[in-house]
Amino acid sequence: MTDLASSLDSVAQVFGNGEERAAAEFLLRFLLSHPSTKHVNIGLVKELSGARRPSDKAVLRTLHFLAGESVGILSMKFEYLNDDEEPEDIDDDEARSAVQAGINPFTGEYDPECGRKLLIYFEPTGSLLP
Amino acid sequence: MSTHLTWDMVNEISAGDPILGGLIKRRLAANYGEFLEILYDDITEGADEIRRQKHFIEKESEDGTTGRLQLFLKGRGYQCDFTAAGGNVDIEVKWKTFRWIGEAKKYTQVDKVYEGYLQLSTRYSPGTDPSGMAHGGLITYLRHPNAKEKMAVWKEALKDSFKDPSHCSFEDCNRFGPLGFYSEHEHGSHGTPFRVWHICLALHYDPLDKSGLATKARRAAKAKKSIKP
Repeated sequence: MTDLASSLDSVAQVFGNGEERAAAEFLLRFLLSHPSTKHVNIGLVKELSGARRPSDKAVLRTLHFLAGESVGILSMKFEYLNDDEEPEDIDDDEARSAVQAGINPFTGEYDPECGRKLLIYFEPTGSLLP
Repeated sequence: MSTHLTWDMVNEISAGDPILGGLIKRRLAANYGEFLEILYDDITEGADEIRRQKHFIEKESEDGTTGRLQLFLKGRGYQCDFTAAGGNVDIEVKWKTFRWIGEAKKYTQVDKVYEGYLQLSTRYSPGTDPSGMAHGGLITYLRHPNAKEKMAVWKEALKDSFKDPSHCSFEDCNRFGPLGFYSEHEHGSHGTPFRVWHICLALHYDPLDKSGLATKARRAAKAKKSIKP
């Protein structure tokens, strides 16, 4: 378990007090007030950041760091677009096959569109304290 | 942008970024071998970052430079601290259930490097792979010229330190070329094979061109001024 202040300190220790820390603060305050949130992506963080509009790179850095071992507030998850172009959760083994060999988890066949269909999102682990 | 973050987009966003490199590969590491490969790639990139700053850190302490490497690895998502693993190990890296330790030493003379090697191989408890082989790293910071020769000297000294040379083996390092190698021998406490990655961060900075000399002199003067009585 980790609290808001120490999480933000960790972000600042690595990235300084720039875009990443600001993005982390917007997101973490949102998660504290919306504990049922299950799906976090770049779009959500940019929306929460309002006029500050951090870069995609800064937001991805932030999400990746918050999902890292030293903070662990988020967990990186994978989805794959099915035949109806709807995302469906896939497990780590399926994601690994997609990344390493371009295998579509639903057909078991090579999928040339793997890069477009494999999706990444972040899920709160429930370890964030006020 | 689309609400979906695709793998293609992740690759595009993370291209050339020192923090985001390899994030998916790292997340999907399924065994100790995969973890080690990714960690060694990450340490190699962290070392590159530090080398790029060598003109700013000429006088930095051993712990200061190690702190830079730790911060780099933290940014890449590892848990990485100065923590005890049977003593005061310099770098302890954790990722999920995997663990790795490294000892960092300023390469002033071979004896000092050997001391670091002994700490690593006899005092600390290293992480092990499923076959029971332990893994660790000896990271040296060299602020003198001719790193290639210094590493060759260290490798020979290490070879000579084993009473029975048949109990140890050596392997070249693709990541660091002549500034790195692997050694393998029996771990002092565990009695299991211990594979050590020896790497040298060549941090010697001594420009001989006029502009470089002027910059160096300016920095030295500035550093002298900034020292408070």
